[in-house]
Amino acid sequence: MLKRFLGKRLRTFAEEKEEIEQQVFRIQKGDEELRNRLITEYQPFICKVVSKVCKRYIDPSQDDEFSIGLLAFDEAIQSFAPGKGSSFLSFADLVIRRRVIDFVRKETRQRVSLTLDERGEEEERTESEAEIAASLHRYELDREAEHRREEILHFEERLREFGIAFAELPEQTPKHADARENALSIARLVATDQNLKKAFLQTKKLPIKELVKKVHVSRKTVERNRKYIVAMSLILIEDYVYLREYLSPAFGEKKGGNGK
Amino acid sequence: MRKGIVLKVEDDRVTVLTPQGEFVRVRKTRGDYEIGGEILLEPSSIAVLPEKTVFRRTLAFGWLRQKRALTAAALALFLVIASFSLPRGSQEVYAYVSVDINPSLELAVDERLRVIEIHPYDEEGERVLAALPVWQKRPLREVAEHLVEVSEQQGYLQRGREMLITMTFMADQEENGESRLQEEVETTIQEVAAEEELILTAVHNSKEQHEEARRLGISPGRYAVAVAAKEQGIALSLAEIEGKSISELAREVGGIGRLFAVKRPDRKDEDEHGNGPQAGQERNAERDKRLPEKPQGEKDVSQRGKKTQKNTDAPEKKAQTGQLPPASKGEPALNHGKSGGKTRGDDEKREGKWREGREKGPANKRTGKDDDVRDDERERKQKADRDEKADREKKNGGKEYGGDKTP
Repeated sequence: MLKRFLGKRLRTFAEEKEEIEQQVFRIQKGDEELRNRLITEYQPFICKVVSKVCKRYIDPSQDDEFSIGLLAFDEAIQSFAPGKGSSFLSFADLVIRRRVIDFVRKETRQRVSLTLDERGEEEERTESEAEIAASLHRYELDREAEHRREEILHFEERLREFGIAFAELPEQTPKHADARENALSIARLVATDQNLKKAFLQTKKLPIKELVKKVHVSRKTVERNRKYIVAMSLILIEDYVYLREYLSPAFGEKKGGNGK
Repeated sequence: MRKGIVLKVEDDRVTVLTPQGEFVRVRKTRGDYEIGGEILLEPSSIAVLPEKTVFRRTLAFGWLRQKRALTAAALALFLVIASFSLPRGSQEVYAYVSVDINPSLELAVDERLRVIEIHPYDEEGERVLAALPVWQKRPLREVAEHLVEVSEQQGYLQRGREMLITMTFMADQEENGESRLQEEVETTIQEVAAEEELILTAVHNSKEQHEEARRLGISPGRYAVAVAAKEQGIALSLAEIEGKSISELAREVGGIGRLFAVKRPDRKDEDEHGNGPQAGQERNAERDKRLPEKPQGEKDVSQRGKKTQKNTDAPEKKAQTGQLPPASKGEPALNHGKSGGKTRGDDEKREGKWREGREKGPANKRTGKDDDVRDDERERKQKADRDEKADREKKNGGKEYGGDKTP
């Protein structure tokens, strides 16, 4: 009885989820009315994400950050594609974070340059080309770090849904480069194989049985590094642009060169 | 130097992700870690033991986290109280489980089968121990699994996959309640071995033997191999026992499992008839007769244990009376046990020679100038061949009875 009840609940959730994606695709085909409806419907979601990034309460009627969030959500609707992220909401979440960060950074920089202007122009002039280049470089690095930060926070939330905490991962990381490469290739498979990915995201578990059939590894090997594989699969599935770029030595070259 | 980005900052350590895809836990060396920022990983700051965090997690002292000093004080107080209020018995060693793969380690467990002490017997063991995740007070099963994993990761477990387990129970065998616990230890070990696909040989050891092995500074497992090998007329010097990996030893004696398997069924015969020249043959015959009727259940193991345990005292007696198994005639006697002390010098000499031989590689070893070593080798080989042949004649081939082989 309870099971049936729960089963129904789960199914309706799944349907609802499917629907968002379907709706997004319909909007992409030109359903303007639906687009406005969806954006209004998801305002609380946008508000939540924006306030997470800003770490303060966001008043939709006053804060600029919220309108940036709205724009980002719209952008997410337009650029969403099946390969991007585990779900539309997860993808939209990341896009909003990215845009809001960029906005906040731009704001603060303007404020800083304003104060510089006030202090006097000579000082500014003396800045050499190299210094400017260096500060620009630093700015770029900081920007990347900040974007990574948001992705990491998103990643942490996702991991929690899978019952994994960051603190557990060092123990689960395969120590040998070869073993790690092995686990990474399993993660790659989970992220690319449509069936595996679907099962993985829906059950929030590694589809070990199916995996073992496809890769020539023992069940034990998969289980031993389960949490590590889950984490890496998530990085590959979600739209973590900056995180993935940072991890390109691990994901990029498949063999050799990436040992310690 | 390695780099990584900060994923999570806790009050005393930081979880970091490296470009190579490793998650690393690092001790805090400064105050301003920012999530997403890149930091350098100094080798010294990499935290090996995560015990502290685990401890905190289990005690759910999270609400005290911010106030570190307070937490520390509370923990200290708690520990003091706990150490007084805990029943004394729980800290007592109930059994020693010595694990020889190549690294040799000994785990001491209490009566609730939690590991309370690990003692490495060699360098490899130390290395494995250093890489082992929290083991204090963890269940034997978990620690044994980690142990196998770590050995595998460090590359000790690739070839052969032989593993020798020696169990020594501190309590008297006669007490009824104890045997159930013993079985539990045994099944735990067997299950771990089965999961990890290892060739396992489990041996029981007497308290006396355990102490003797400790005195000699070799692992109880290796010591038991020496005793069993000697009983079969395979002479192994202490140095050889100590220097070789278990797989190597196994090859030398034609399978550790066989060693103990042969020895087991004839325990009584040996005690009663002593060692006639045909004793070896009889043993094999005995074994073959019994083999089919004995499934490898836990019961059997525990029985085997008791037998082996009594048995292990036998060689010492023999050593004293100067009686040696037939095949070892003319070979240098194995030095161990009570006679070990007297002839240690001899051993050391041979150890030097042996090492010399080994450095020249296997080919040189056989044809080397060192006659002692060569003769040793040849005789041992002949003996092994002979035994194997006998086995085959008895239609039981090289089946290892004592070794619990998993497919």
